[in-house]
Amino acid sequence: MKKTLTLPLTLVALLAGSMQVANAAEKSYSLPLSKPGEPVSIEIEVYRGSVTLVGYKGDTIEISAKTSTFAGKDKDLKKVKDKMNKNNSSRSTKGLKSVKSQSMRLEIEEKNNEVEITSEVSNQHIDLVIKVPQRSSVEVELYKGGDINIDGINGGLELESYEGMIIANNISGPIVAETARTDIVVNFSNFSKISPSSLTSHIGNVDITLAKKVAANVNVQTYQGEIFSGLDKDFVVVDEIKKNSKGKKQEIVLGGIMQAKVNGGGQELSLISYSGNLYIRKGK
Amino acid sequence: MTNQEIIDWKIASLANNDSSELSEAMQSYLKRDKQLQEELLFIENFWTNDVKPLVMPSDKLDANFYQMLSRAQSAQQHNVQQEATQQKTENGVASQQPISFIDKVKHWFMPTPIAQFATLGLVFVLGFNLNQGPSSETNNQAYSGLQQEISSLTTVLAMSMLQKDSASERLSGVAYSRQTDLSNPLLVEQLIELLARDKSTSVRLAIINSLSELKSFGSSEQQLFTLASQEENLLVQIELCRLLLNFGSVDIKNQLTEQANQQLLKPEVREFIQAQLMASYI
Repeated sequence: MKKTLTLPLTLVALLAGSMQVANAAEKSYSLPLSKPGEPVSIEIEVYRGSVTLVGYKGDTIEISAKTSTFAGKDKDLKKVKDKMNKNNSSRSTKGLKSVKSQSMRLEIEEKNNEVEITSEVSNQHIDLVIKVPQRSSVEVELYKGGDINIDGINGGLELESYEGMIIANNISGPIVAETARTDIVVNFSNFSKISPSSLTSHIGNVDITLAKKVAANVNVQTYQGEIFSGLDKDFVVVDEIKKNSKGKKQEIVLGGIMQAKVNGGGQELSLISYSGNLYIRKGK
Repeated sequence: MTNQEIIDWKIASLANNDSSELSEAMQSYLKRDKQLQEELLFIENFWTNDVKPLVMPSDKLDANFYQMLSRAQSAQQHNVQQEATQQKTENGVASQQPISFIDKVKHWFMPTPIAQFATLGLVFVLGFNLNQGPSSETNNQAYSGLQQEISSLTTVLAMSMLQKDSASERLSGVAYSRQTDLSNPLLVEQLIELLARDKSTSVRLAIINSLSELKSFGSSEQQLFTLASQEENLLVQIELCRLLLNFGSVDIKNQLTEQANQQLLKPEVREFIQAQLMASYI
């Protein structure tokens, strides 16, 4: 969601950049920021494709997009086509050549260092590779197609993938990531103390690696999966204690959450899956 | 000259985006106190949401800061009372209600974004948690009063964080709500409202976990039951059932068991409820 800034000083810089790329299967674009050196937030929403984000020391957003017409099976798309075919009688193609669509629809907006990149066309597969300043905070929502890949970004991450995996390397979070049936693999080079992090896969696995220096309270919860840990610290059950008024009994419930305090503990990092396994590895 | 005066200046200058410099006397005082310099830096980093990783003050620093705040509060109340008495004597009329240090701070923060408010909330909570050993009855009362103020600040902080766009910040809001005793009905209402509509499973699960701190679900119990029976997200539905089975009334537990028996819930949830019930018989 794009925020409206109300500070008087920022009103001067309300220069919205907007671009629509058409008739190209591959395109690169360099997007300068309105406020170089200041915090950057990037919001990406892709219906079908893959998203790769790489943090770098520069101060522009470097976007590379490659599209192809979606050729796979997609129940939703098939239904639409069937419906259309029923309504339209087929026309003769005699003497005509098939022209493959090479158009690309990608919308990019920037305003006060808040960047929105959107591709919502259902029959277009788009592979986005985007270089962003390392400090960027990023929000990605991917519905179908490939994976979300993140590398070397220090800002907050909010990632959601319905069909593909989420793979993040060399990050510090805070990160909130969620997949439906695929894995989440995260390699923490450091761990943010600012806000809690949480990785949830409904039926996929969650696999994390923590750098030696990371201090965190790692919470794990899986209902039908298994938990594998390479940490020195053991996981212990976190009991829920119901606080009652004075003189009345206290109720203690053995909860489903287990916790390990890594390097003395710190901010919360929760790993949750219904039927997937949880892997906690110790890094360098 | 006290540390508090310098912290007051720092917070006020950040809140008003004011770049006025410290007086010479203050600068000289600040130069001599390294801890105070670090405290100011911590506040500034948190306030400006600096992209560099924040370095939390040390335990010793937290303890020192908390004691300093406590002393400042006592000192200020003492001064205000003295002034009030003086005014009464001079004018023969009742003066205005004394404004406490916390009220003054609330006044600074209320109209400003939460990142700024969070500075003080966090520092207070840090300080309070690390200073549980008051030495006298007077201190005990002061600490108790401050604890209430902290709870009130934390509640406001939690409610504001729960409204943020970022899921991670909403998770922070839930974590803050756990630090209160959830006695504020508005906070509970907001948590349940968010539980019903938040798009992040992590946030919803954290809220359910937080609600287990409630002394009683009261009128929210039926609402939680409706959510549990209609929920489509398996993880959320299971945790709602766990919450109600562990902490709900007998009536709600029976209603939930009935739903399971009538196969109105997902097979995985039915299996979970049966396992929970079996465990409770053991």
